[in-house]
Amino acid sequence: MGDTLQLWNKENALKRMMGKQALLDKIIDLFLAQFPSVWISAKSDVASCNWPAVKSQAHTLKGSAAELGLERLAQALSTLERAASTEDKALATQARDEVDAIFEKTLPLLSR
Amino acid sequence: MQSTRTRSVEDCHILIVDDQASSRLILESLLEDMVTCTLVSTAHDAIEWSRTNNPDLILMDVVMPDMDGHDACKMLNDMAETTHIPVVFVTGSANDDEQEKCWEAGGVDFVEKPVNPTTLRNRVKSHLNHKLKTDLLEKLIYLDRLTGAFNRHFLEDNIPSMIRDAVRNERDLSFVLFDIDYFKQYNDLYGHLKGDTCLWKICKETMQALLRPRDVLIRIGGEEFLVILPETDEKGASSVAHRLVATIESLKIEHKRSPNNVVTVSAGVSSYHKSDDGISEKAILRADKALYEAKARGRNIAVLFNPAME
Repeated sequence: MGDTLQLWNKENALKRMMGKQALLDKIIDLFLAQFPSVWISAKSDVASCNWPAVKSQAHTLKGSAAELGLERLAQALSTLERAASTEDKALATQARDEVDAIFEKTLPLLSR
Repeated sequence: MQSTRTRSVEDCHILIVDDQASSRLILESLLEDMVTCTLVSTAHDAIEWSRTNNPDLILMDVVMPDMDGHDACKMLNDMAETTHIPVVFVTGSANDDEQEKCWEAGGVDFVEKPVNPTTLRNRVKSHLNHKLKTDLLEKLIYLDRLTGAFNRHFLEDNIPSMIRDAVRNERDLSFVLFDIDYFKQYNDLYGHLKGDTCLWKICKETMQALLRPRDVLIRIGGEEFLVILPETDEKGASSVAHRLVATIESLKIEHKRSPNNVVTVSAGVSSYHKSDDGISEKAILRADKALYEAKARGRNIAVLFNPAME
């Protein structure tokens, strides 16, 4: 399933914002301002097995990524949220690395 | 303040509750050409804002740090002044379990994130139309057609929950009972049509003078009215009553059979006490005694009840 997902389905994101490019730009700015700090905190919480915090942060970032049509990132964050719910450290670690890798590929697409 | 005007979707006010700035911004942008939106970021702010501003619909996020959307919805449903506000959940997960929780919390609907704009706009429009029709029905049942004030049915149906709220939340609840001085003489001199116009003018001014949406004006009978003031102590209620008396006198409605030559009102003020044991009539009876005292002192004044009047 993950293979069919796009890194950035911009067309769909814009459609969901009723074609408002200025709105999309604002949401990207908000995402770029929010993601790094929350993600650093989430990674630290994965390391310390603070599952409620991981779950909450993964949920927040997943929602923001989904709003922007960042399909693969949202998918990886969803896996991390699920891993936190079941307190599955192996899956959480794997999802964390996946999020890191996907975000690295996504960032250049969003930077204007 | 009570409104007697028929409203449309464009007049509606929606509260958007989401801890994420991006989600708030998206929802507002998708709806702002249809309705007026207010945005808050916490469930507590949502409850406080709703209690004082009475929105027509709430779009509520589910997962929030201070209190989740389900609990906020339950609290809103549990309070007399917000129980009628429909809550639509905007949720990141619409699995079976989540759907059950939305319905159990008292939500009227849910929309899944990321939102489809067409679905969101149509759901919002549909719920607002339903709310407007419900409001209209309540208006027809509860409003006095002549004056636009609420009628006795409203008092009977709503006062128990208002008292319950005040007791549970340890909040003040006060009453101002007033009537028009020498109104029989006014009708005798000017006729009933003029009398009706006088009643209408006084109600219109009174409703404008009541500054908060939750303050209500009720026509108890002929020329007798009751103002219910939630979260208002005796001092605050006295101040409202004095303002009402002054406002009516300042209308300068001619009344040649009144010593003041203009229409005036007298008012009695009281507050609900815990010892009233949920019986509103006790507090209203005290306001009636204070009103009697106002009449005895020469009318055109507001008097606060004191135990010596018992």
